[in-house]
Amino acid sequence: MGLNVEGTMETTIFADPIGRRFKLENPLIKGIYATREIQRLKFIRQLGLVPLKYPGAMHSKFEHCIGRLEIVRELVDLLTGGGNFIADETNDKLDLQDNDRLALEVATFMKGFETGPYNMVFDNAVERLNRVGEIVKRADNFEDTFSKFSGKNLLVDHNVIDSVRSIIRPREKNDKEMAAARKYMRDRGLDFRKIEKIRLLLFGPLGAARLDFIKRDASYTGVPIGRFSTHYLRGLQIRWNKELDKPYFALPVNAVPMVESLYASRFIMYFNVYYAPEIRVAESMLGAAIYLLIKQANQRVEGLRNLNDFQLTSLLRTYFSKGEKLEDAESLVGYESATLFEPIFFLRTDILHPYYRGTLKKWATELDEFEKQAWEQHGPGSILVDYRIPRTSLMEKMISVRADGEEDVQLEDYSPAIREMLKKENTLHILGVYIKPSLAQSLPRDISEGLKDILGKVIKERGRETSNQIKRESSIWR
Amino acid sequence: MVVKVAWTWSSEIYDPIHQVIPVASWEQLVLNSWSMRRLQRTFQTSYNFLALPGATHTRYAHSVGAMHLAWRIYESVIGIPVSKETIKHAICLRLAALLHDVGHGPLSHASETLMAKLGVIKERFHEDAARKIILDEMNSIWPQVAKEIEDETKEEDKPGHKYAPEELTGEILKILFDHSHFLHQLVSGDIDVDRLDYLRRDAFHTNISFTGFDTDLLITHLKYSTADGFYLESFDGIKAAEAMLIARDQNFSIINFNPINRLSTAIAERILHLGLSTQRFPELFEGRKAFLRRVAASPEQATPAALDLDAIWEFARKDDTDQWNAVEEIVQSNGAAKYFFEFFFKQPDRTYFVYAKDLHLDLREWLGGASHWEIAFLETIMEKQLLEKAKPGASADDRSLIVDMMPYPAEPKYHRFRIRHNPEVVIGKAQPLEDIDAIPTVKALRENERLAWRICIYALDIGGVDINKLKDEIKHLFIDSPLFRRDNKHDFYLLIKQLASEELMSLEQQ
Repeated sequence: MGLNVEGTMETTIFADPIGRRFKLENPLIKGIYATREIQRLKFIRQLGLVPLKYPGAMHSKFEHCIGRLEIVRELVDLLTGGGNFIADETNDKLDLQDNDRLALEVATFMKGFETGPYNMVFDNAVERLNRVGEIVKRADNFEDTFSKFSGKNLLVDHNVIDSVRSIIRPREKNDKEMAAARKYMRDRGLDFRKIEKIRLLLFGPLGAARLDFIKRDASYTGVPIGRFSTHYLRGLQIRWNKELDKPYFALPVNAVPMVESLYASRFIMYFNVYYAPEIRVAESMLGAAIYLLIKQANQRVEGLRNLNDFQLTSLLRTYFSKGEKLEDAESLVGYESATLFEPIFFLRTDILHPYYRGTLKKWATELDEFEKQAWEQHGPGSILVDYRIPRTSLMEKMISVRADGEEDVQLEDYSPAIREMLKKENTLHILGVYIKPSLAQSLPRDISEGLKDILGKVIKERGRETSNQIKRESSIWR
Repeated sequence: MVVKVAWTWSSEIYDPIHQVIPVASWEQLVLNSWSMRRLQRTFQTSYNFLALPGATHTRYAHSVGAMHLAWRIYESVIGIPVSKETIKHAICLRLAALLHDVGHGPLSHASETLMAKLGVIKERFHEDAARKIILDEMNSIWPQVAKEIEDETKEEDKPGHKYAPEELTGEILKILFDHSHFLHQLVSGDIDVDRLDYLRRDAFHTNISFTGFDTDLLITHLKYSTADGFYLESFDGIKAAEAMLIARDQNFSIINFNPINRLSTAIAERILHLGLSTQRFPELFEGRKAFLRRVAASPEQATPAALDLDAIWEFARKDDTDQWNAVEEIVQSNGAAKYFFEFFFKQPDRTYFVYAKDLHLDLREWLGGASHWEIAFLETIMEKQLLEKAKPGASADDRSLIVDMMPYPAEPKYHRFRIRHNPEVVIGKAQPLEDIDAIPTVKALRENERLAWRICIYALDIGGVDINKLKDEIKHLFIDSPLFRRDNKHDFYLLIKQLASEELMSLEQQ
């Protein structure tokens, strides 16, 4: 926000807390900014319910859009300007024309507009639907929202609609989908390789989205490291892997420490922020509440996804209050006043003997059934089963370190610190069982017995112990 | 920074401004109470997040920060408490700082201004509200707090300190509102923890880093004596205080009075006002009618209807979520509200500012004592007159102009200072900074504040408006209009009498 001489307002200069003063100059991006879809992101918390524990982490999804755009511009300058770019063996340069740049910036700015209220929490709630066999994917929603967005003609008028659509398309799950995506691009005369490189700049392991969210989340939560500057990535290249037919980042040796600090920051946040027990409990509660809205109050997933945080909260307050349809499950919205469910069982694999890790998947299915029975017995939302099983990501394989005169080495192989952190992250499972406060006083027999049946002796050894330890240490339960 | 004290800290809160903030177990009880958690859903700087995307910080985070600073000042100026009395002071100071904003309504000052403009509350409503919350709403917490304090201050050979719950609440309220309490200055004064925290927090979240003053330096030079209370002694300290006052001045003009924030607030006020007749807020509806009756009877003697707290409680205890949804709900059913709502997301076609210096009038005389409801009427009158001139023949429902008048700067609260030229010789008695001739900055800042006062005119939709005419009319209205003459307040009262009767009639028809 600023004022010009005449005293008219300029609303498109932003003083972003993490980046620099920033101006939206391009008329297309200005137009996109003014749409309701993008303005809605100002009302969505990037970190969902994390502010319960970290009161500073109230940043909105919209800030992330601005931050991403700033970083992507820096990355493009880094890769194309100043003669830094060295062509790889295929002589395939990142040759960005003006309209490619525009498509990249537009895609960067509007990425994530299809997100639901409370960001990831909504996706997790939808995952709960998937667990009981009703497959609702975020990707399904993409086409719908994108067509609504492109209906505004902004993108059509600037001839970037196809490029933008290809850049922010959801990730393909298999070869068949990949072939379809390639056909789409070929039919529209788009350069597949170029689009993939642009996607890497945006979504890749050192892409703008990741660089921004780590920096932002760390700053707002007070996690000590993660102040990051693209300046340290000088010499970064994008190359093409012929075998996999995919682009990857080639990192100069002296940029490795910066990347290590970035991974360390993310590592700290995984354990202390994203997977902190209080946050897991609160998010499970909200997730279950959304699930009940869909299953029992006949709200539609698509409708709910288009709400913002305020609207969803208001809806939950209406349905979960006295005399309403979902009044039995009122305690589910207790996170608003920090009245959380009690963890009767909580395990994180970093404190679990490796022997048990293999059985986690088995437990997960049995616990789902257990939760279903408990809901029938003690009312919906009386007990919550929460598990996160890491999806092994191949993303980190897309960085290699370029030592002069030598073969490229995978980042993991080059840096033992990163290797160890990734190893731990990739085995980070969460398994928790939380019960509503009124039931926790005297644990019903069927629940305690049922839990023992499934979790066997682990519950004796570690589970209860960890739950108690968490309760002792966590401020929110006191 | 965790210092060893007479009690043990039970946990800590991570914060982007102060990093690690140690918290005692009884404070955790207060922090987790419904009344405090409500502040977590209340933005500190109202609608600023629409213009400055990072300004999403909450009253909750700010309160925790203020608590931390209060402790740092106490510990640095008075020392670590050891006796039963000083431990009580320290504990209650921390709690008072934590609870200093607990009475705020949704979107902080925005809702309070709205209620004051509608004439249903007196000024400084949130202080009464805070008193009620501490004594009534949080009633059940204080015995637990007293018990926790007793447990936590226990040592091996000595029993813990026992305070009656009433003793604690009494002390907290004294620190918050009693000017004679020696710690009152720290929660409400020129250099108080509220200011020290919000200046830095706002600066961080908006990345407008003018607020680069040194909190540590200020705290280091703060001294206490029974005769003078808290004061700054050395020249360095006064320089630090100057920097803080400059930061405050800029915080006001850039963040608080930023045009988008003012416009969004003005729009929300108008939408909620329009929604009164939809019976969305029955308590505001009745209060407004009672107030209008008074104005229609005799505007000179009209005072806000000053509903008692219970009557307005429902509205005052809502949070941002409720307020925003109320706005959206009203927009669904009201055409005029819908029109305004568009401008939450769209910038107005034209904005004009009329500054105090353009008016050549002694505004202090006229506006110095003006209350919010008088300003609200003045805005309505100006909107009508401007529109009439700029867009002749516009319908009565035309809403394309918004006039927003800033509140006139309030008188400062004095904080005492003493200059020391070298470590041995103290010159003079401690006196207000503004009175020290050697430091003209403070006087200049006061003048600055008056100069920055302005009226904003937002032309939402200029289709059909003659721009040149509008420009002339603004000058004309402010310079020649009798409304701005002190001796002509009579005319103003006649006008508002008529407006009040009209509104009352339409409200009573509902």
